[in-house]
Amino acid sequence: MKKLYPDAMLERLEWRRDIRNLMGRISADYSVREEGKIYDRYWSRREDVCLGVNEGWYVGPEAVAGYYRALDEEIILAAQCVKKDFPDKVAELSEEELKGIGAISYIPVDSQVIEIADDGQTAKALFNIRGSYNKVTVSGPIAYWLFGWAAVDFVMEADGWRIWHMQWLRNVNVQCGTSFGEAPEEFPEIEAYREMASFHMPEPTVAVTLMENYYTDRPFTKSPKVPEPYETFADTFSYGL
Amino acid sequence: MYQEHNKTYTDDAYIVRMWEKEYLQDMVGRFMFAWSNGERQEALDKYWVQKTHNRRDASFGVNNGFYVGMDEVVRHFVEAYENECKADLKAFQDARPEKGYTGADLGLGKTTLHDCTTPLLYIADDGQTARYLCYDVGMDATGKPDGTSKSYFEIALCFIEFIKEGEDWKIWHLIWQHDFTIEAGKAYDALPRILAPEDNAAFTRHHGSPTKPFDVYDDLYGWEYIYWDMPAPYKTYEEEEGYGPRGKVGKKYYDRIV
Repeated sequence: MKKLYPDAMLERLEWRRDIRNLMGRISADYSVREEGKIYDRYWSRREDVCLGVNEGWYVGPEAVAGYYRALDEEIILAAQCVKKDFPDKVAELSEEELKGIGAISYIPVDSQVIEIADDGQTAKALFNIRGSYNKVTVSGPIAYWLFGWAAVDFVMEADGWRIWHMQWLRNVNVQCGTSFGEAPEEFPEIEAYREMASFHMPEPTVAVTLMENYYTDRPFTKSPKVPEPYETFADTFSYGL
Repeated sequence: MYQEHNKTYTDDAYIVRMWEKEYLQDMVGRFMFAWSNGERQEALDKYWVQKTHNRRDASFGVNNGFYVGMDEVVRHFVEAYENECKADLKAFQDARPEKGYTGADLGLGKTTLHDCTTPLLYIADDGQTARYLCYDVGMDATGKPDGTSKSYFEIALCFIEFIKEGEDWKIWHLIWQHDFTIEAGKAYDALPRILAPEDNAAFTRHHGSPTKPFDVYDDLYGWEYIYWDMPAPYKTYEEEEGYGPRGKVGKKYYDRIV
């Protein structure tokens, strides 16, 4: 790790704030149901981007963009179901106003560790995710606790830091009102929400288990590796595939 | 009130202090990840004091006292945890030999999150020590051989005092004030408001037998002390104001110098 002088420190303090802001904006996008814009807003346009979730890797721009597009489609479909369930309450809302109703997604990230490469071209960061959300299902909205991690490689581009690789992992993803590892409570289907059965996330490009959701005899599972100081990306590990 | 002291820094010195605050914030993040990952001995080796006189004086405070000296910190933070993991694993092996848990790593069925959010951080004017406070809003689950788990939301305050060893910042004193535990899957109104001692294990399981036992934090009525214990701008380290076993945290109001 090279010795930094105050001018370089100041620049890196700004960069570190930029990285935190970027992750903060993603968290805010989840809360205002703008997940569909995350790829456009924060990801690099490189061909070698990838997103890892528990079920595998979305590899390349189309797959990553498709993942976020699917989240958006789910939000739109859910709103239509809520509209069917509460026609009197939301009849006057426009499509734009309707979007996002019936669901909440509170996904804060904290406990950051950030390392910027000596060459200033890439950066790595690890955050805890500690949130809660509700998912609109065929049985209506159901609430979950979520504990997990966001592990990110950033790349410096002309307009600043962009996401290059990201792992967005769920460690404990449990229905509210149940003990961790316990089977979720089953609820009866509701006619207004039946259409949610037609929604499925796209299959990952590489289907592989990156992380198992917690179960009571799961082998001990650690977070992704914590970033260490590095000179250039070739000298460190990747959060990508 | 919460301004830094009106001390004059050159631009460069000011930038270095900002940089050191960033470094310390990341260091607590590293410590919390290692704690959650069960890498406890590594966490102590990497982030805690190394110089002999500091190691002798290092401390880890919990609600019922202080573990003083690194050997005692290891006894509580590393050995007690490993013993707990071994007992949990043995319970699986004894109850379900057909599952072949032999050779499983410690921590089977466990998951834990410690984190550091909403930090306060001040570096002393003399640049040799720093004080920090964050919330640790986490969780902890231990699987049982019958397929259930004991799982909790855990909320604590974490006070940390850092000291410079040469060019390196190290953790010197840490106090983990466990505030409350909520059993996951239980409704608030289904939980007892004040626990009888025999029902209090969920709260006291982190405590153990400190080197210097006393009420560092009363999780029923301890709120009154927090304001006075929060980090605030300071010039230099003074033991009675610090987060070590002879410091202010845990002192009753009538023992404090106002």
